[in-house]
This record gives sequence, structure tokens and C-alpha cells, in this order.
Amino acid sequence: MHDRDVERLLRRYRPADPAQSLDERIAGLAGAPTRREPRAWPWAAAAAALLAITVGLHASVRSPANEPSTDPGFTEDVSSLAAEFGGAPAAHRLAESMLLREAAERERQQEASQSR
Amino acid sequence: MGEAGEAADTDRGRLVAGLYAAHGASLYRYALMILADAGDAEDAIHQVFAALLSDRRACPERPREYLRAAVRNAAYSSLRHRRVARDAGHLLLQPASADCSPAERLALTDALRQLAPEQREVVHLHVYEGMTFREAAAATGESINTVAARYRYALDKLRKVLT
Repeated sequence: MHDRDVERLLRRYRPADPAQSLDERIAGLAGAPTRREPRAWPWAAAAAALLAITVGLHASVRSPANEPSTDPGFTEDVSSLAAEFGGAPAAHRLAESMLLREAAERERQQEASQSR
Repeated sequence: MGEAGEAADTDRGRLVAGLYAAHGASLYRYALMILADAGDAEDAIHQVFAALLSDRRACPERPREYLRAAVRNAAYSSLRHRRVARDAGHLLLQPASADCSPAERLALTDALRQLAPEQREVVHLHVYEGMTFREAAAATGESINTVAARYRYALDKLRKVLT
């Protein structure tokens, strides 16, 4: 076996693609809010944490992120964002995942503001 | 958080997602070839994009090169902190032509695992990304001679293991 044979053999394969779980992890990062208000008082932070846990448990049960959407407007938004990301299948999965998370976050914030 | 802050977060999130959609798969394959472990490669990519998301500076001018260097740093840092041998069950390669066999794929994966990470990296850059040794040297910060020597040793080892 010569060097060219080894190279030829290597070229018949290519490194494996990432699993879909990586797309979901990055979509989770990119769709999550990253900035936080500075803590004013310890009791306020504790109350906010309790509220977040309560709302989070509620949202986890009926979050749109857990439900496939059939809304045509949502489908258009996904297509538009996926096109912005390059239009490949991975871009489509990423766009859908991000928009579902954004919708879930909006719903969570609305519920939090209504409960105040 | 104010509306302006939320909008800035959304913009940054979409910028990072766009960079991932454009470069994520290729960066993952690069990390996979250095680390020889799918879970560690995922973690390296996640770490790089999380850092990019929290970094408030402008988007790098040459994102592909910037991200490749960041992934390289994350991968070698992961190797330095690795304390246990990794699961060798995951196949590093997938067929790129019709005449591949499962046994050959397994043998080639095993052979690649026997190389040093730096040797697998050079094989990846030269064979799978089509870089010249000069380009691979620029991407890794090594001299052309070092890159060429690593490639030579890698092919020698692969030939010995595979015959």
C-alpha cells in the first residue's frame, strides 16, 4: 500500500455529520435571553426565582415549543428565517427550533406580567 | 430587561444562529477529527457558540477563520482536561462513495484513532478540507515543515495499521 492508496481510501469517506441534538443545543442558546437585570434586593431575586420556577413548570406543560405548529404564518416565518441562515435543511431545523423557543419565551413573559 | 435589550439579544441570537447554520457542520467535523469523540466535539462547538453569543463585540470580520481557531482552542483545551479514555464505539467517518464497506469503515476509524490529535487534524485539513500545507500551517499556527511532517507520519502510521 502506497501513500496514494491511503489517501484514496481516506477520500472514499468523510468525517461524520453532527447529530440533530447539536442543532437543538445551539438553537437553545441562540433563542434564549442572555441579559439579566441587575439584582436590586435579595428578596426580589428570591421572589423572581420562585415565580420563574412556577411559570417554567406551567410553560413546560403547555409550551408551544413542545407542539408542532401548523400555523401558516409560523411556517412562513420559519422559511424566511431559514433562508436568512442559508436555506439548508439544518438551517430550517435551527430556524424552527429558534422560533418555537421565542414563542414560548413570549408566552412565558405574558403570563408572568399577567400574574403580577 | 427593556425592549431594546431584548431586541439586541434577539439580533445577537440570530447572528450566532446564522453563523452556526453556515459553518456549524464543518466546524463539528473539524472538532470530531481532533477529539475523536462525538460528545466532546459537540461540547466544543457548544462552548464556542455560547462564548460568541455572550461576547458583545462586533461580529468577527472573517467568521470562518475566527470560528475555526476558536474551535481548535476549545478542542485542544478539552484534550488537556480529558482524564478518561473515550468510548471508541462512535464511527468518525461516513461513506462518501458507493463502494464502501462497513468493515473498511471500521478499520479506517480504528486506524485514525491511533494517530495523535495533531496528525488527525492535519489529515482532516489536507484531505477533507482540501487545504494546501501552507494553508493548513496558517490555520494551525504551525510551520509548513511541521504540518508536512505530521501528514507524512500520519500516512506512514495509517499504512502500517491498515496493511
